[in-house]
Amino acid sequence: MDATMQTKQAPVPTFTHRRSLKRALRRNITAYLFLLPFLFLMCTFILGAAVFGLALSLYHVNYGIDTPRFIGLDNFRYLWDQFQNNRDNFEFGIGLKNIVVYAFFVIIGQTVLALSYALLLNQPLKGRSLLRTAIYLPSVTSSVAISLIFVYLYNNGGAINAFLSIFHIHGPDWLNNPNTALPAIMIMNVYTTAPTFMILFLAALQGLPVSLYEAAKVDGASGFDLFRYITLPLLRPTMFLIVAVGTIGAFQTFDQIAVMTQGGPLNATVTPVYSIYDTAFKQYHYGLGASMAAVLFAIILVVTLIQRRFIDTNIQY
Amino acid sequence: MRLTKRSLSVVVLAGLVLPLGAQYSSPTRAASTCASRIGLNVSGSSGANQEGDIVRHELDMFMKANPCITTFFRPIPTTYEQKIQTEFASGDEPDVMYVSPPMIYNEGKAGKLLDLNKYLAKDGVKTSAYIPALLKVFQLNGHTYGLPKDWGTLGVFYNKAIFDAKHIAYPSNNLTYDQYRTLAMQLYTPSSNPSKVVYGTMMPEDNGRFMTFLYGFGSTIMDPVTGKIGFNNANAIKALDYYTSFQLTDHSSTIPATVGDGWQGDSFGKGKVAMVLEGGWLTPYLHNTYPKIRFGVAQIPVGPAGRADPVFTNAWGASVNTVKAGTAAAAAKLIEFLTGPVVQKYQTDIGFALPTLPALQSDPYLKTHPEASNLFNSYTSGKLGSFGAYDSITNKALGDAITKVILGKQTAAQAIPAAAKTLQSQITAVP
Repeated sequence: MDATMQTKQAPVPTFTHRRSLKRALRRNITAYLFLLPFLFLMCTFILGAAVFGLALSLYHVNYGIDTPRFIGLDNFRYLWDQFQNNRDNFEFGIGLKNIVVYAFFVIIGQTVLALSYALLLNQPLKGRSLLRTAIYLPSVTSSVAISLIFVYLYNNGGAINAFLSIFHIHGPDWLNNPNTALPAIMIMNVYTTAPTFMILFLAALQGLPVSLYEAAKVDGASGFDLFRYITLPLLRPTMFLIVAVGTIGAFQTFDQIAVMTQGGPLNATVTPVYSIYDTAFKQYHYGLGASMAAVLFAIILVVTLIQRRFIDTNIQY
Repeated sequence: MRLTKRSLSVVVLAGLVLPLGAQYSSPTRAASTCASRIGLNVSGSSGANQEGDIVRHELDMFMKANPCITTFFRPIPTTYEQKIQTEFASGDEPDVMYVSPPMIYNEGKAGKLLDLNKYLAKDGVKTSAYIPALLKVFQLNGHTYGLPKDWGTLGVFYNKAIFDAKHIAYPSNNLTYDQYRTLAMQLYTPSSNPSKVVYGTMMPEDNGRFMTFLYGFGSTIMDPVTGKIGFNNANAIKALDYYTSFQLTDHSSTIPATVGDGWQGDSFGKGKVAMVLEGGWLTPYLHNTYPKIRFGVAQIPVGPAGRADPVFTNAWGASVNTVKAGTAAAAAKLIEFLTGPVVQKYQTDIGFALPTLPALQSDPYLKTHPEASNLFNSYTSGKLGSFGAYDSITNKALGDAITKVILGKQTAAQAIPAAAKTLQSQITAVP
């Protein structure tokens, strides 16, 4: 009886139902067909390359020279051993140390500067469009070109030291002094990346509900109160995005280093990615380079997860 | 109208195709007697510069002399060794190519380069015709993987105007290390205005210059075959002490970046420094960039252990795959031509490079250009200027050692063993 009832209750596909199913399927297939070029590129050049890189880290590889040899986790053991016993001279380890300092200051710098730019350009200023263009210009300039310009600016006889000499300050040899080389590159990076993040902040600022500000003003909130208790909290999702993207970008710093200092002086500006490049493409230890890349990936992943935990993005308004 | 469109299409097509064709050296029309034509792909680390033009011209000379062989030049202007390695990995390497010293210990050791011995013997080319110190760089376990195409070494480039202004005699070919140091101090002209300071010399923080003093004090550096470090000794410490004393004790030297230059050739050309240790490559640079400078070249100073001139060289070699392709004999013939007396005389006479054949010592160009002949005559005391697969890490370790001493972070006695330790960990421990 029950079985009969169940049979009776089971949905019988009607002609209309089948037609809508067919339509949905066709719609999905169309969507996937549109996505296909992107998916193909992503699978080949991002996912595929990542999986290949991970596999490479388990091999001793010298392309075109030796036959690749499976060595298990030996590359990772080597990294661990160097990190423990040869910390002062281990380029990748020094790079990780440098990048933590670099990321910390660059992320704070670029976030603060981007927010300041956005707040400034959110005001009804005269010549705002021109100002926006001027501020955004470094972001659309090639990083190699910007790096070369800064090499000249930081030169011992360059514009920065010439400017300092007006105030009788003897500027350092920025890029050749281990104490100033990394900060010099940080300043350049903040200057060039902040405008990109400014756009995100600006978009977020323009989407904030005006009603909240009006209500707060009625309650007697000052300008600073509005910023501290309304703007900043509501910008948290954008801030998370900026901090996360900024962190990943900072950890992947390469081109500026390759152009300006090649990791010197005395490894003061070496970064993990530069070290990976050096190991794989200059010393021909491709497997070891791949294992460094895997370690870097794990670090970036953990840092991003931690950031996500601390910056609550679940804002309702 | 239709005709005009078609004509336009032809012109546009020709415009697109012709520059592609121009990439290759134009093959000379083969004699109709050729039983079969052979094509050779040729690569070098030169592009749209003087060197690229010279190679193209030399290939044309070869094709005129050997009409049955056509060469196609494919220059690789940057990161040559990395690019060529990927080509070896994909089996797309050129037939004939520039061979740098590190390639002998990578591609050569792995049997990817053609051993030329058999072909040289067959063609009657004697390896003894080449400067032994240069040829040795391209030989491994009795195999010859390349013939040196040209070479360079260091000399003392001096600015005659600065010497004349100070009434100091030009440096001789027999300067001792002490005399060189004294000379640098005499030539140093301090000034309260940094742009008016003239330094006696420059001792950059790189092993390319430092190695001459390592050898000069009696140390070795690195055995490219065994990877044995040779500089962890008292002589190397003395060399580092001497090298850094110019800047730390005498203040007669600085590095190019301090005076706002990328390399010391520019500082020398601008008259900011009286003497620099540079190679023959500086001569055409000065002629082109600073044509007004009056300069001379003396041989590098003689150290306690004698004269030691590091030699920097490249060779022409071939891929072992030319054997399978049946083009190995033609490839060897091309290499013999490109490193032979005709081409080397041509290169010498245009002042492009020093010849690797001692027989060209009496070449008219060398006789009339003492700056070139002084450098050339150093070949008898040539020392290894590259360290095979360990080249970049050796140079970096020693360059860092100089920087540490200059910055006061370590003494020479600390920096040399530390450099050796770093290098050792990179050589032995990598899986």
